[in-house]
Amino acid sequence: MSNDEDKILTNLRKGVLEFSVLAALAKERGYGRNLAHSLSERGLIASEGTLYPLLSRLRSTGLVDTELSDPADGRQRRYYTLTPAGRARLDGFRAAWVPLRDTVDELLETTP
Amino acid sequence: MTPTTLHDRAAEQRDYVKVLNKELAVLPPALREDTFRDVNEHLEDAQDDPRPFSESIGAPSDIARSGLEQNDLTAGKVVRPPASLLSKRLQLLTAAIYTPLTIVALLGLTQVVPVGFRFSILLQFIPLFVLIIPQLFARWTSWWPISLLCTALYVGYFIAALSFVTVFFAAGWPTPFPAVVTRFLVGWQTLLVIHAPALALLVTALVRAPAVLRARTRRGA
Repeated sequence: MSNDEDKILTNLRKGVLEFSVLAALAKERGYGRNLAHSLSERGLIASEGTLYPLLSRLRSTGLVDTELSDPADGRQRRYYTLTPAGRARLDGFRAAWVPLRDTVDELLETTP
Repeated sequence: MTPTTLHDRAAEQRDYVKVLNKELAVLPPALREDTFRDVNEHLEDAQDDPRPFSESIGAPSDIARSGLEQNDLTAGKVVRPPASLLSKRLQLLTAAIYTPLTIVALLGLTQVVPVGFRFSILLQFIPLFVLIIPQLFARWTSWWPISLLCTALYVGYFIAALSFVTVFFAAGWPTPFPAVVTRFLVGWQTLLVIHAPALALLVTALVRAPAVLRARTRRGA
C-alpha cells in the first residue's frame, strides 16, 4: 500500500472507529481483548492496545459502561456494554452514514 | 509453555509494563489508570499468544499516542503534557527556582543603577526565563521540538558565557578589554549556582521524556 493510501485509510479509520466499537457492543457485550482482536482482524485498528484509550473515553462520556464478570466463571474480566446514550449516538451515526456512504459510492462508481 | 519460556514471558511482561508505565505518564490520571488496567488485563489474556507483547498488543508509545489523541478529542483541543509527567515536573521546578530570582533581578532594575549594570542583570537572568516559558506552554505535539530547541539555545548561552568569562579572567587583571566588555560578563557564581543546575534539570527533562513525545509525526490508531 502506498504512503498516500495508508494516510487515507488511517484518517478513514479514525473517523469511524468510535462507531465501529459502539456497533460491535450493540451486538453483544465484550471484554478488552476479544473486542480489540475482532476490530484488529477487520483492519480497523493497527495495534490492539490502541483501542483502550478510546474505550476509556467512551466510558467517561457515558456511551459505554463496564461490568465485572462473575469470578466463578473463570478469570474476572471487565466487560463493556452499550448504554442508552451510546445506542442513541450509534443510531445518529447510522442515519448520517448510510446516505453519505451511498453518495460517495455513487460518485466513485461514476467517476472514470 | 516450559518453565523457561514461562519465566521469559514473565520477564517480558514486566519489561513491557515498565515501559507502558513510563509512556502512559503523559495522560491525565483517570485515563491513564483506565488504560493501564485494560492493557494489564489484555496482557494476562495474551499469555497464550506466541508473539511478543509489543507486536500483539502494540508498542506502549502507540497506546500512549492513542490516549493523547482521545484526550484531545475530549478537551476539544491539543492538550499540554500534564504536570504529573516527570519531564514536565522538572521544567516546572526549573521555572519555580528561576522565576523568583528573575523577578528580584528585574525589581533591581527599578533602582538607580548604571546602564551597564542593568544590561548585565538582563543578560544574566532573562535568557533562561525566555527559554523556559515556551516549554511550559507547549502542546504535546510540539513539546519535544520546542523543548529541544530551547534547551539547545540555553546550552549555547551557557557555553558562550562560560567561554567568555574564562577568556576574560585568563587575560589577567587589569584586563586588556575595554570597559564595555564587562557588561557581557556572566559571573562564575551565577553560571555555577543558577545556570548549571537549571541546565541539568532541563537536559534531564529531555532525556527522561517518553518516546511518545519524541515521535515526530502522529500515526494511525
